[in-house]
Amino acid sequence: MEQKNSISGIYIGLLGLVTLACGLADIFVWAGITSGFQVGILEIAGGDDFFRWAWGGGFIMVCAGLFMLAGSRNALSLQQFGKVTLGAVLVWVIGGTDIFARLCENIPAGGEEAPEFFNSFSGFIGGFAPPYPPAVILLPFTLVILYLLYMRAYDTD
Amino acid sequence: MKKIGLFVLFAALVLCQGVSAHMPGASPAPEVDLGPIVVSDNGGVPVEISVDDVGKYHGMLEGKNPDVCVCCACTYRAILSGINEIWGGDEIPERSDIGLKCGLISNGSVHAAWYVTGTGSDMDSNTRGKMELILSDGSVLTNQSPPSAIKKASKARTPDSYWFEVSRLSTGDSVMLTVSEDMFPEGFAEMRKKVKFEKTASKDEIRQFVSDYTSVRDGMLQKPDYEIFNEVEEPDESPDVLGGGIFLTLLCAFCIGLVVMRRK
Repeated sequence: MEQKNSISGIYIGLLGLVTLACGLADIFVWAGITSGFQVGILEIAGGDDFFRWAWGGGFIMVCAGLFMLAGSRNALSLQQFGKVTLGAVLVWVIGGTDIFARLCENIPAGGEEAPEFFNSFSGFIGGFAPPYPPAVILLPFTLVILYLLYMRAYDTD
Repeated sequence: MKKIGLFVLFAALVLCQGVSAHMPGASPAPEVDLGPIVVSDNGGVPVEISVDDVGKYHGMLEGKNPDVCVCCACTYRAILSGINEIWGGDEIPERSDIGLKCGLISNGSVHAAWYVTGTGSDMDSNTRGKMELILSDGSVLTNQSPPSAIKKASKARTPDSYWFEVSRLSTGDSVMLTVSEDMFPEGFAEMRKKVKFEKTASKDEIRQFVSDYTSVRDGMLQKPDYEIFNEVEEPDESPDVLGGGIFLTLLCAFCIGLVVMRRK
């Protein structure tokens, strides 16, 4: 159990660090400290929208990272795993809204000059192509936490 | 008395339409957001130069109201496109590292180039780039200051004169940009000569030229780079179906996995 705890702790700690870094990067880009950037399929575009970039993308992701980091020590105890789960849920909320936003913006054809209202099928599919915001990229990595939750791997004692 | 007052008011309103335009009768330039040219000045301080700043500078040197003319707009677009091509989107060029060779010789073009490269006589000499005006015979116009020299060179302008070579002086990288002939209506250069220099155009021809001038200027401001410059390729707008397909497949697999796990 102890070995399982340490492996989970390291994984969750690393995930927490990356989440925290992504959240801070979102805030820095929103604040104009650095311009938006893209690394591979990860993109932090930034923008003036406070709710999207400073609150949703930034503050909530920072909180998610902090919860995961806080829960990474002795991660499989009930209380600690609760913190980790809360962090993961925050990432799911932001990632889910990002995916939902893409879904919604890919339904109409877009562009004022487009005569048709609905997007073409290839345009709709292509709209889901990379790059993605950090929360969407982190989503699959948080599935490990979902798996641990489902398997009831945490210590209930 | 009332009638005279009304007439004066009407005349003032009509004249107001052209007061900010340097081409008499042309409507004011449309508002556009082209994004600024960002250069670093005086030891790394970033300076943003918009097309409106260039119009203000041009207006100031002409002793008129701010105005973005065809040449101002074209030169601004060329420098913006050239800088983006050479320095990429992320790097900010030192103003003193920008070189420009320009085949378009006119007050508007020269003022725009002076302002961006910092080579105007009233600008800081420590941060100057390099600018050369190339005459139609290939020689360099060495003395750019007297307006008569620019006016004389401007008379010989044809659509072929609309070329620019933007370069990075420190590395020697350069990009050549020529304006597409499609930007100009047929006979635009001849009509310009007739209206502006020979003064032999009829009223209808002047009206037609002002209309053509306005559409050329608006095109220079509003059209994308690939429509203005021959060398800029149209970006590939076809959607990345493979990338999107992979994402959607993974998303569907995840959702199915969740349902299966739940049922178990």
